[in-house]
Amino acid sequence: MDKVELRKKDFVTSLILIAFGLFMIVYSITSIPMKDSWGGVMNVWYVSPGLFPVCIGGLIILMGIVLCRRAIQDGGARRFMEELFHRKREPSDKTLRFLGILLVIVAYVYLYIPRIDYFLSTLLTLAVFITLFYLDRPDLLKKLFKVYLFGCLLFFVIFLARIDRPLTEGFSYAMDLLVFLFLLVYLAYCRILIQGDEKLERKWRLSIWMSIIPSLVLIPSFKYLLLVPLPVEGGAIELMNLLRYAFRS
Amino acid sequence: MFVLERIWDFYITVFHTALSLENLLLLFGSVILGIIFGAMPGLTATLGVGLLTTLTYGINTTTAMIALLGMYVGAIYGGSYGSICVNIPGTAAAAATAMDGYPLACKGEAGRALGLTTTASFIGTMVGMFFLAVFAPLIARLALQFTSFEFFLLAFFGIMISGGLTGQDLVYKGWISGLIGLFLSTIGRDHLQFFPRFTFGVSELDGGLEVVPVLIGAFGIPQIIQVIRDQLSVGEAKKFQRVLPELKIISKHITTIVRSALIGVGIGAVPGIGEDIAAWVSYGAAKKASKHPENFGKGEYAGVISCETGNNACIGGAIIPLVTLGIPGSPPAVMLLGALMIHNVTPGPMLSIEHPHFITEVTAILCLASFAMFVSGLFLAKQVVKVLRIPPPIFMPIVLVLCVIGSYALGTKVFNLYLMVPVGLLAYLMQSMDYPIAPLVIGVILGPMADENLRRALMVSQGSFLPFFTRPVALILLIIIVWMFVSQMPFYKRWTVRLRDRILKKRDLRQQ
Repeated sequence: MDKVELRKKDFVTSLILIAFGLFMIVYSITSIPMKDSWGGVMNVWYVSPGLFPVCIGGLIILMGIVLCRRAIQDGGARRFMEELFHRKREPSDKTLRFLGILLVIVAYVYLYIPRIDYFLSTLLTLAVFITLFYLDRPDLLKKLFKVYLFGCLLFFVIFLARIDRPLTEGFSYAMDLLVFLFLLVYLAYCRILIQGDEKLERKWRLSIWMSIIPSLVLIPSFKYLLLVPLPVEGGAIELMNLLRYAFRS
Repeated sequence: MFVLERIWDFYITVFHTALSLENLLLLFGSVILGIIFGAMPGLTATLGVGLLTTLTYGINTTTAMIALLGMYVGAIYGGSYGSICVNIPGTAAAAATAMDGYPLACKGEAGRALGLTTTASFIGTMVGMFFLAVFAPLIARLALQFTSFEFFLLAFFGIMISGGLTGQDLVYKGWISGLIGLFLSTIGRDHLQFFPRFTFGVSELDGGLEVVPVLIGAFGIPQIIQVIRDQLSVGEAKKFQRVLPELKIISKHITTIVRSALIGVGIGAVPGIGEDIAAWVSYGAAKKASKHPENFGKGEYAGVISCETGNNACIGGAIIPLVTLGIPGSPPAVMLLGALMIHNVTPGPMLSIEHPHFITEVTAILCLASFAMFVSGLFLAKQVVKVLRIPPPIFMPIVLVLCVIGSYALGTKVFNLYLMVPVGLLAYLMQSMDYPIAPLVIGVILGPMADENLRRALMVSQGSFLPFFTRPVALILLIIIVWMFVSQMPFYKRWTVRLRDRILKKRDLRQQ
């Protein structure tokens, strides 16, 4: 990264650090007993639970000031002020790739894992993650990103408005089924986009295999060998249980 | 008598482990897995040890250590495969190996280069193990004399030195990273009075941040984002026939090996600095000492031997402060510390009292792991190189799933995942601005030690800071910390420049 660009970021970081250090000190002094009684124990300042955070906060402020001074010296603050009023940045290919990764991770952890069958969440995440980047074409990435974002927003709204409750009351695996349908729609859309390109079609098939095989290896290993109860055991895991018991008996 | 007892213990553990088929399979399995992890660009030894940690929580400590040390040794060695065959270092520790390893492969000597790295890594690990066996008990005995004053300063010293030495841009960026780690460690109820700090009423935060999700998040998420975002691609691997130990060439470079091994152990013993720095310093030293430094970078055997000996010797060195002081010597050792904490083993001076055979066990496992690495390296190199063909957009998503399930499996808490992601994103942002991540993680681990010991020390001295100046070890540590801090301040730099100018002027005047 260009030095002045780095210092521009350092300038912003230093301001955040100073503000954060101040917050730590104020929080520690106001919310943690420095001298009062807590749990029947009379505190003195040197045994207070607030002592260490105050020290850390102070050091963070000090480091923030040192960093700020350096950023101003090297022209980072000037660059920041210039760009503040004349923004001319276009989103680059790398930004879109970053957003794609971020969307996949955030949706997997915060949206699907706590609510949807773990196997299906993992299968969807792997299929989307691999196809987004393995097909390796910016125009495809943009289109697939939009479709996945739309799907995630849709599920977010369903969960936020609690529309999933009446659905799961009628059929307990309704949401799992919806996610599975979404996965099929996503893959079908992806297939339509690459139709005619043999190389991409091969990659698409491999992507599907590479999302199914690890899910089928990892999840049963954790569930049945390491005996780890999975976050949500929905339709797919139930099916695995049935198969396992049928196989054992 | 004490030494004989240790040697006896060592052989007993070696034979006990080697005679159990289950242990041997685990050892070879983890070493081979480590080599694969090390060989694949984008996967690191730290991440490998971290992910394997999550699988070992249900097994006994010795078996877990066999798996983790096997992975550690294998991954540090495995990095050389990518360096030699495709000119992309599998791990940062093998970056220096690419300098001469790839030119050797281009000359059609890929097999020979791999033979050299296998033998050099084996010797390096054995030297590191020797130093661990000799020095760890001595340091552990010395550390028993330490009190809260020394432990507070030691924890702080660990963060300061790792921050200072791993910072790529500015030294104090490493310290900032360490301070952020210390802040993260204060979240939750404090260990002395159980007062909730920075929990904001979220009950899941009461127990503090769990170490393993933080470690996996800090090392795994940035790795995934970086590899995919920057479109890291791997070229066609160079072909080779057989991998032999190349003992003739090795014996010719015995001085380089000894020098690099000592450098590796020394650097490993310094908190937070990893195998990558050990490899580069060893490479630099070998180039400096060579009669033909101009050949370095063009396929010089000494170049390959020096870095591989250095980075593998670093493993033993990194475990010395871990087991004796509770301060990890390298990022993978940070993961080992997390793993030990899961197994209720608290590394530090009390370790030799609570678990008297632990250090000997670790030494014996390290010895066996290096043999397993040597054998696997000689016989499986050709097969392992095949994994380099897997494109990153396919294996990185699988790594994400492993990170997620690994972080979740330890406490079976989804909340751990909610923490892992922001920590990972913070680590990614910091990394993109040239902040090192190792001090952050060391800060999270050493934070409770620093916090408790500071307050305990002040409790003993009734609020007086005088013992920091009157206790010799504490005073030395304090002087080093203050000097490290002051030496980075602008006024100190100005003052040293002025002083140097004045001395030079005086010398010029005298000469006239």
